[in-house]
Amino acid sequence: MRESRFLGVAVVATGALTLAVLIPTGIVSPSDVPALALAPEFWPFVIASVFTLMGIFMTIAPGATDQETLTELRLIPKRIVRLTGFLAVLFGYYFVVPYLGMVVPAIAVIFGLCWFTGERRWMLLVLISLLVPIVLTLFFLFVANIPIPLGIFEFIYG
Amino acid sequence: MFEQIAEAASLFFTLQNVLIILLGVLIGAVVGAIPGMTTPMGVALALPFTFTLEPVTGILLLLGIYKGGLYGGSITAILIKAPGTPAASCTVLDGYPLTQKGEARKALDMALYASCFADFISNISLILLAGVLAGFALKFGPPEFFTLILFSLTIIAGVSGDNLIKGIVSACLGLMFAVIGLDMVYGTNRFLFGNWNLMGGLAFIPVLIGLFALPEIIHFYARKASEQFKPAKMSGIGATFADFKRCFKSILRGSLIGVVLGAIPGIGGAPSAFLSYSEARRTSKNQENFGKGELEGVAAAEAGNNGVAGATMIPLLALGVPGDVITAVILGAFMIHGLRPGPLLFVENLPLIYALFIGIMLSSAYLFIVGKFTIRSISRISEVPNTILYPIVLVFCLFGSFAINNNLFDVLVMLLMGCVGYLMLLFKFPAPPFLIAFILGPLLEDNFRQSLILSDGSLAILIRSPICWFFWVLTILSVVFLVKSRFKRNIPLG
Repeated sequence: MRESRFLGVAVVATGALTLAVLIPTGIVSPSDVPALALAPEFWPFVIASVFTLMGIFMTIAPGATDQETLTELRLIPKRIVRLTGFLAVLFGYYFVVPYLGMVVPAIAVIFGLCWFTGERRWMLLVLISLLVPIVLTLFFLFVANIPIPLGIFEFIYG
Repeated sequence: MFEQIAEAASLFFTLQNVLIILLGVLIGAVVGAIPGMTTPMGVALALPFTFTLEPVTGILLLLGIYKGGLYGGSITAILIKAPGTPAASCTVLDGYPLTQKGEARKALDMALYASCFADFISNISLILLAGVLAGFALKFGPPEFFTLILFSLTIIAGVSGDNLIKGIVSACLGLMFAVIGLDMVYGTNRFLFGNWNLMGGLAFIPVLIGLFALPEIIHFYARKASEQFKPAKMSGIGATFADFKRCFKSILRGSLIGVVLGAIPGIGGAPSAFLSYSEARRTSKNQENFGKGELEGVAAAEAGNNGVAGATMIPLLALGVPGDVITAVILGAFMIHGLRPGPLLFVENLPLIYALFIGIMLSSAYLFIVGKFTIRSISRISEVPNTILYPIVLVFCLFGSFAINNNLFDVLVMLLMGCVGYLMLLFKFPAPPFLIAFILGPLLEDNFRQSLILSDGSLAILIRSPICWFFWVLTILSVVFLVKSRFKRNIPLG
C-alpha cells in the first residue's frame, strides 16, 4: 500500500513538473494560433493532465502491492552495485564508440559479461566475443552498406 | 480473362520465381527473428538486389521477406521476450510466459499455425476484396482516421493487465515521448532542449528495442549470481489439432481484423495484433490466463499480425497508396521497374497482377514449410544459456539501433529507453500500452489537428460522417463494456 502511494506521488510530481516547467520551457508556440486546440502545447498539456490525474488516483486509492514487486523493490539496495556496474558498461560503450568504434568495445562487452556471469570455457568465450561483432560489422559494412563506426580502425575503409 | 491467367502463369512459373519466394520467406524469418533487425530493414536491404531481376521476381522476393519477417518476429518474442518486429510485441504477452512455463514448443507451433492461416485468409481477401475494401478506406478523411485511432487506443485497456491506471500512465508516457520533435503544423520545437538529433522525433526501433529487449537484460545482470542461470528452453510438446480447434475462433477473428486494419493505410500489424488480442481476451472463457501464458493469446496476436500481410497490398495495388513502411519500400520497387501501382496497373498489366497473386498464395505454403524448419533451427538460440545469449542480444541491439539511421544518438535513445523500461518492469507498469500509444499518438494528433484546420477550429467536424459516428459509438461501447466487466470480475481499476 505504502509503495503504491509513493508511486502515485512520484507520478503526480512528474506530471506537475511537466505541466509547470517542461511544457512552458520546452515547447515553442507561435503567437497567432487561431484555435486553442491547434496550439503545439495543447496535446502535451492534455496528456500531462491525464497523467497527473492518474497519479492523484493512485495516491488517493493505492492498490495493494503484490509480494513479488515488494521483494524486487526491497532487493534494489543490495543490487545497486551490480546495477550501477552494468549501466556503466552500457553507457560506457556509447561514450567510447567515437574513439574505438563499435567492434572493439562490443568484443570487450561480450567477453566481460560472459566472464562476469561465470562462463569459463575459454574457446567459447573467445570465439563468440570475436565472431559476433565481426560478422555483424562485415554484414552491415558489405551487405547493407551501413558505415559502422570503426574509430581508430577507420583506416580499414581505405 | 483466361488468356490473362495463362499469360500470368507463364510469367510466374519459372524455377527462379518459385525458388525466390522460398528464399525471401527464409531470409524474412531469420531477419524477423533477430532482435534489432526489422522486416522493413530486411526488405530495404534486399531492394538493391532486385534491380537486376525481372519485376515479378524482384517484387516476390520482397514480399517473401515481408511475410517471413512477420512470422520470424514471433520466434524471439516467444523465446527471449525480444520481439523481432513491432507487431510481435503483442505475442510476447503470452508467448514468453508460456516459455517460462516450459511450453515454448506449443507457443511456437501455435504462432506458426495462426500465422499461416491468417496469411492465407489475407491473401484470399487481397484477391477477392481489393476493390471493395480499398474503396472503403479511400473514403476516410482526417476526422474518420481520428475516430478510428481513438477507438484503437481503447485496446490499451486490454493490454494493461490487472492494473488499468498503471496502463493509462504507461500510455500517457508513450504519447508524451511521441510528441518530441518538430510540431507537425507550425514546425516549432517540442521538447528539443537544444538537441537537434530530436528534431525528427524519437526513432521507433530504438524505443522498441529499449523498451522490450533491454529491461530484461538489465534485470538479469542486476540479480544475484544464484538467480541467473535460467536458460530458456524450447521445451514441452507441440500444439495439437485440439489446441488449434480451441483457438480457431480467435484465429479467424484475428485474421479478419488483420484484413480490415491492413487494408486501411497507416494502421499496420501492431495495432491489428493488439486489437485481435484484446478481442480474444474479452471473449475468452480463460480471461484471467491472458498475459500469464494463454495459448489463445499467442494465436490471436499472430493471426492479427499476419492478417495484415496480404491486405496491406490492397491499397498499394488498387490505389497506389502504401499501407505501411514495408509496402512503401515495395512501392519503390515497383517504380524502379517502371511500374506504377494503381487502377491503371489492373488495366495495363493484369497478367503481372495475377502473377503476383499466384506468388503471394505460394508464399503462404512456403511460410508453413519454412516455419517448421526455422522453429527447429532458429529456436536453438533459446538453448544457449542466458549468460551467453544476453551479451550477444545486447550487441545485436546496439548494432541494430545504430543501423536504423547510421546515428549513434539512436543507441543512446535505446539505452535510455532501456532504463525507463527497467523502472517500468520493477514497478509493474505494463510496457505494451506505452508502445501502442507511441505508435498511434502521432497519428491521433496529426488527424485531430488536420480535422480542426479543415473546419477552421470547429470540433463538429469530428462527427461529420456516419463513419465517424460508427467509431465514436464503438469507442463508447468499448469503454462502457470495459468498466462494466472490471466491476463484474471485481478487478480494481487502480
